[in-house]
Amino acid sequence: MNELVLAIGAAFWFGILTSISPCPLATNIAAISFIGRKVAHPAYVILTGLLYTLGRTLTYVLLAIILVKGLSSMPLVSHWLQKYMNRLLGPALILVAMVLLDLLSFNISSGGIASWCNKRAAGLGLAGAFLIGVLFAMTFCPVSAALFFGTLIPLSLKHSSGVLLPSIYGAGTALPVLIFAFLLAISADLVARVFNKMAQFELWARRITGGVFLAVGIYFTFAYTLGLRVS
Amino acid sequence: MKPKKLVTAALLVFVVASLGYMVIRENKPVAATIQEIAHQAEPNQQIMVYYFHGDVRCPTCHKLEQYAKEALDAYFTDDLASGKIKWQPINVDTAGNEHFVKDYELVTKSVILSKVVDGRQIAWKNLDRIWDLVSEKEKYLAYIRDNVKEFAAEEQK
Repeated sequence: MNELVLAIGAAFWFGILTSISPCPLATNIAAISFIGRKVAHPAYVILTGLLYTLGRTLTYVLLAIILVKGLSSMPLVSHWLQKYMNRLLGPALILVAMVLLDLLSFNISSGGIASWCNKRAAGLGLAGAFLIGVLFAMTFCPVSAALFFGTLIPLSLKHSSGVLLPSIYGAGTALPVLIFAFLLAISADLVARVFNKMAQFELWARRITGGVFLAVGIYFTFAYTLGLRVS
Repeated sequence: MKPKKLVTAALLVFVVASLGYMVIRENKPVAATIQEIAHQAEPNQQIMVYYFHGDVRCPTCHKLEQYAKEALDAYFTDDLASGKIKWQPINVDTAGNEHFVKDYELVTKSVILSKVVDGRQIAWKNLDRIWDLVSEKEKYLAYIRDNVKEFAAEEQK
């Protein structure tokens, strides 16, 4: 029992370490701006943050189940995700930025959940937060790969825990992002109330988020999709 | 064309062209295989010290490589010069190098020692504590030094 408690603490700490290491900084900034952009709606910010966390957590749990059950080879999964997700992330972020900046819009005519989310959340809102959580969790950088594949999965194997430990890890990876997003939203909300310019603030928050996604997307595209990074 | 439409079109072209270039880059074979690298060896017995990385490099990853190289340069100068020990950084994301991931069960950036005799690998070892020690340079250098010595001695028995 004590060992499991220690393992839970370790999984949470590995999640925090993953999030605060320098290599996912660009995607974390994008996530913070995305979650915190609806400054006038604190409940919406909290819900978006929770869905982002859920997206991350479910991704790690799914990967852990696949690996703990031995359904796929860990080196191959790790290599594939590190290689291809980083290459695909840039173009994906540019497309997200284009939606946020109203350069692209989806006309979903066929009802359903996607259409509902699209209408309710003015494009890439709640469903978007979940999908961004999934996308960012799957984009492993060297440090997160070392922590997830090299430390968390062996720990999960030791405790036969394909769900609990990866869930705690996933929550840990999202926590610092959530804290910053909430602080950002609260600060912006206060400033907006003082100046009584809530609508303008939200419009600009959306534009800034789009700009951040575009900048991060172009960076990832040059660095990894095109392989032009100087380092 | 309106500026907004122009920007939209330019970004879409950029996205499609980048993905197209990625596919072309993916299919360009370059690297030497492990056997080819081993055949380049002059002595019939050699310790290969590999540092495996991918396209995505981080500050810590650069340190992992730099410190490993520094350890070899500091403690194995003669062996490096004679070819008994060979330093070989390899990008596993380069076409033709993917097999190293399976060969050495790599999940992240790793330093691998490989014993090659007459062009054939007879043993290998993953120095899996590099991530724990990278924040303490002296310990990291000593870890590389001790393991290379130990690994070379083990195989000579």
